[in-house]
Amino acid sequence: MRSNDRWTLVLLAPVFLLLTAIIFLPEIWAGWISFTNYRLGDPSRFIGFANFEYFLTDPRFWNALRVNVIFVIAVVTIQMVVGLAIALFLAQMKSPLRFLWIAMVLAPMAVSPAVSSVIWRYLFDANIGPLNYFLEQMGFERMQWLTGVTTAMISVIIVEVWLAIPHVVLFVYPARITFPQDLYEAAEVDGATAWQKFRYITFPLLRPAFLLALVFRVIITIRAFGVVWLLTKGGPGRSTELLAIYMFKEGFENWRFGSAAAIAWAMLIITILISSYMIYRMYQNAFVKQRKDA
Amino acid sequence: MAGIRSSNSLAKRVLSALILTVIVIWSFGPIAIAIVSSFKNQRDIFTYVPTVVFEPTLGNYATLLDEWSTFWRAMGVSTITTLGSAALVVLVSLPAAYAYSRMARPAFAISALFLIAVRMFPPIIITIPLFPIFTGIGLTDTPLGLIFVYASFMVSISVLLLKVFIDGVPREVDEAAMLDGASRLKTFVHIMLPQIAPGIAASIIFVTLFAWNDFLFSFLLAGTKAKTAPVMIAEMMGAVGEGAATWGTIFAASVVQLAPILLFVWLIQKPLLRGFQSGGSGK
Repeated sequence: MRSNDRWTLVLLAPVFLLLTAIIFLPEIWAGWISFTNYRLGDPSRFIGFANFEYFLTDPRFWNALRVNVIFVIAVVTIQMVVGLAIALFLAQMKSPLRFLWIAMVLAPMAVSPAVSSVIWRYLFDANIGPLNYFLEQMGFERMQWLTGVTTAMISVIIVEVWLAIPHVVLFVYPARITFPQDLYEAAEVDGATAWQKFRYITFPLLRPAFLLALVFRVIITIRAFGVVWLLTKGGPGRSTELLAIYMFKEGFENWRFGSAAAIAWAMLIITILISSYMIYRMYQNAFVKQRKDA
Repeated sequence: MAGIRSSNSLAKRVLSALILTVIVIWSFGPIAIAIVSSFKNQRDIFTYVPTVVFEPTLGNYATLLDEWSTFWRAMGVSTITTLGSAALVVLVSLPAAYAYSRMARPAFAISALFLIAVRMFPPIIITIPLFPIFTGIGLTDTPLGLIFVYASFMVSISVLLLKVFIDGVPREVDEAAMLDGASRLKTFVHIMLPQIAPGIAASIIFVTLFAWNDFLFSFLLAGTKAKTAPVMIAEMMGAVGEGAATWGTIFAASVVQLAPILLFVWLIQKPLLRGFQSGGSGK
């Protein structure tokens, strides 16, 4: 038993060394510098909670929080509803071409934030962009997609949803195709409508996968940065300045690492709180449940 | 009755085709536009009325080859960091997954909570402490620095994934091999590895999607010498305003960056749809 434990430690060591060096220790150090006036290259001094006081009284922080909340609610709601609808639509298809359509639907998950910002900047372009052309053709006015306060928010939400939908489909579709077909056949015999079939068969069976996807997508969306940064840099004004962008500007534009670290810790705590249930479930799934089965 | 039925099903089929068209245009339309535009000359890209019929040209790709050696350099860095992080992830997570599955007493399983918690860390918050640290030890602007960071964020999912696959191999199999006198290592390499190959492939997939497409870390920790393709593309985008780059060249660069990873996603589509990801996927 003893030697077995020693080997266990040896086998686990590389992973934990890597995580300690790159994530845990730096993050703890970030905890320390959040209590100092650390700036790159300068000697730092302990300043207590001044950094926390600083950002908690900074209207920009509250703006970023508000923008982030709106962004998360909009992006997650739309992607979950549309992703669910697309997954269910694909699952009921009988066409042999189904896998081709699925390939099209999954494609955005391969697109990097950089390339999607190129594509969507072009689509949104006020002068040469195809979106404005089609709007005009349909009798609407051209829009200043990325440069208007409200429209910029709508634009970044659209792009984030576009990138996220394949991930929702990947949660829902595999769950859906395992449902026994005879349930639906029985319901049809009883004369159930399509809505009733969804409401009383599909959705209850799908709930675990759907909830898992929901929590996961919230966690992922809270940290959104790349695409929004590349499309708007948080502008115009601060209309799309998410928490991550606010923190980034504090750290890498104003070079106030102390307060950026304080904001980082605040973000970490928010995420851990929201994801604690998820962490617990994944742990149970991987380690406890299967031990009980054995 | 039969008449109503068939017109009903015809209406249904038309509606279904319509929905499918909208879904496909929404998902793939933007990508298709990028691909098509990369074969258009500047004049055809810049017309307000979209040109559907145009003379395809390889001019943008030629410009990319002739004038943007920096882009190809960045593609090279992307390739190195992606392969490097995939290798590092597999190398460190295989032993850990094996230990969790086969050797560890329940007390050790608690440590896995940390692994899962790391999965939830927003990557951006680690950039604040990592930037001064990497600068201090000379890891900024090196592919090696990026490899460490990418691997760190992907090992946890990889360990959990591989553990599930190793759990799936019956214990009797390796016990039988060991009774025959094979060492643990030999048993692992010859008996276990072939059986968990799909799990290893899955880990590599997640790392690849993450490392190849990452913008954040490369932008912050490797802005010049070890610049990766996504950062280079973002820079070219910025150069459009100054007239130093054209839309056509950027579309070509985007297609070069996107094509391999898109083909990769399509190749692994079937296993993805079987649902082994459950909470895994990269972003």
